[in-house]
Amino acid sequence: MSNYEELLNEIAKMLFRELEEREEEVQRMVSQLEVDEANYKNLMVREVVGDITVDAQFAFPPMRNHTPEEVKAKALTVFRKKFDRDKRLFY
Amino acid sequence: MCSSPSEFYVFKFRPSSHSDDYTLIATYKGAVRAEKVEKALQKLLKDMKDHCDDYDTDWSPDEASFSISGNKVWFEVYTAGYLDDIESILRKVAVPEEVECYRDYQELTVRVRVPRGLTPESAMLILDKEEAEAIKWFKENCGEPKVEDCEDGAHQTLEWFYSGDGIYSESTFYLGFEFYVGDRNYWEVE
Repeated sequence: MSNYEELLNEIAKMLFRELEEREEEVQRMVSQLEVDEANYKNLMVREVVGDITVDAQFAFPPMRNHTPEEVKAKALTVFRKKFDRDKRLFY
Repeated sequence: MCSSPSEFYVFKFRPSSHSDDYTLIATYKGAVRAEKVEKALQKLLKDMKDHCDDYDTDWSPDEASFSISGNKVWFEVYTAGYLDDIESILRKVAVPEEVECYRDYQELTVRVRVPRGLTPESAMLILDKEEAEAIKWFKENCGEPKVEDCEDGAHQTLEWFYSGDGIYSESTFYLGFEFYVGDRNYWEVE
C-alpha cells in the first residue's frame, strides 16, 4: 500500500470515529432514509475520502504540496460540511 | 457495499480540468422511491442556494435539471465532475438498483442500408474498412441490429438503438476511431 493510500485509510478510520461520536444524529437521519446505518456511514466516508484523494496524493514526494496533517484537517472540514448538509436535508 | 473502514473505495466522480454535460440516471424499485428521491433533490438544490459556501461545486443549482420517468430519476448538469452531493442523495434517500453516469449523453437510432439478405457479418466483408469497424462496434455495444426491408425490395436496413456517452457529433462517430458519415447517404443517424 502506498503512502497516500495509507493516509486515506487513516482518514477513513478517523471519519468513522467522528460518525460514532454522532451516533444519535446519524440514527435520526437514517430513520428518514432507506439506507441502513452502516451504509450511511460508508457512503459518507466514501464521499469525503473522494473529495480529498488528490490532496492525499500530493502530500507525498515528489509533490509534497501539503502535509498529511493538513489533509486530515481538510478531511474533517469537508466531513463537517457534508454532515451539516445531511442534517439540514434529512432531519 | 463495503462495511469496514479499511475496505472503502473512493467516490467515482473526481473533478477534472475538463467539463462535460453529465447525466446521472438512478433506477429504483418502483416509482414511489423515485418520487421520494426527486423531492430530496429539490431540497438539495434549494439548500445549495441557501448555503452555497458549504458546497464545493462548479455549477449553480439553476444550471441543473432533473426529472423522473417511472422508476428512474434523471439528473443533468454541465460540470467537471462535481457530482458527489447528487450521488449522495441518489444513494441515501432510497437504495438504487443502479446508478449510471454518462458524459454528453446521447440516444441515437443508427441505420445503414445494405443489399437485401446481407447479414451484419457479410456487410462487414463488402463495405469498406471504416464501415466494417463501425458495424462491429455497434454489434458489440448495442447487440444484433433490427433488420427491416426497404420499399424498393432490393435493400434492407440494419438498425441499432444506442444510449450512453456521446459518440456522435457533426456527422462523425467517435468510436475509438473517427468515422465520418456525412458523405455516405446509406447511413442514417437520428
